[in-house]
Amino acid sequence: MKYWLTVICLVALASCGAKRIPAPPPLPAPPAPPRGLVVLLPEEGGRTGVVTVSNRAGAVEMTVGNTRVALVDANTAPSAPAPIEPAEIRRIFGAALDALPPPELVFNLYFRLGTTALSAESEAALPALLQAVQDRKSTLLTVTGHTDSTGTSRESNYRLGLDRANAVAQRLRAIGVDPLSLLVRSHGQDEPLVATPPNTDEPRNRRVEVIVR
Amino acid sequence: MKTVRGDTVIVRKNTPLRCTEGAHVFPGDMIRTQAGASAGVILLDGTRLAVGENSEVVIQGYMFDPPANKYSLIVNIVRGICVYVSGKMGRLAPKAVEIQTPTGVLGTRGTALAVKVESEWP
Repeated sequence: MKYWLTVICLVALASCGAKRIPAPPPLPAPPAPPRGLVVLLPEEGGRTGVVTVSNRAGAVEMTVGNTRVALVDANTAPSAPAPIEPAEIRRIFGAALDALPPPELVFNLYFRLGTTALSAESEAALPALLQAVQDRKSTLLTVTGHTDSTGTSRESNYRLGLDRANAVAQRLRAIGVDPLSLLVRSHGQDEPLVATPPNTDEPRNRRVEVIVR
Repeated sequence: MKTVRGDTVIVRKNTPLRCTEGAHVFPGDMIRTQAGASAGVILLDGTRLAVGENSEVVIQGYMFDPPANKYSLIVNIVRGICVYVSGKMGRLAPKAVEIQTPTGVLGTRGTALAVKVESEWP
């Protein structure tokens, strides 16, 4: 009986032997999709920064643009940085990248010595600022007044800086900017654009900086 | 809030608020987007954030006070997609910037980066 079973088995094997091919090695399990993906983007102007990705299990650093690190969970070390194609970045992040607002705009307006009167050049430059505010429908503007190192005291320069900032804020309100959108302040003589000795008449330091977002 | 597309809300103290371009975002606010939606934000220091669809991103903390040398930006990406482009804070006090995700924390030095946090968990 045993003999016959063996024969039948051999025949069975032989009958399909011609079609048999070596079994392929088992496929590796597909990698789990990363729970987190961090991509270092190349920056406009070519300066790319550094990002460190860390969790309980380890830390990695990326220093080159178009590089990515994958994260599986909080207890598994971040993957080694690997290149990622710009097209792939676009596929995953395109809609968000398109939603990124443009960088803030910075305007400097300059003043006559000891006054809140704009210089002729800055008076001429004012329309460009007002246009930018309207184009951007900006609802968050910073208006910061500065002075040079002339004047009677640090305190009086603080007040002059504030008066200058308020004079510019008034021009912005006049074109319909909501006062609640304006952050008006003074740094007085403390943040000169150009470092000078005390009591120096320096037109470049008599300014109001307006940041339009 | 500079750009708003589709169904985007600001969740403030557990209350979703309809948001439009020009709306102000405050520390503690969560930006929540549905499918096809997105939002773009610019912060006082010039830091820019963009949130993709199906996302929840919390501006957990924010402080930008150069005269007092006080800086802090904590962004928590709960799920979805967020793009970060550093501003003055990234230059003046890079250590004050922290981007949290469920699987790891990101520290940056003057950087643009894009983050995706999978919304479906096993």
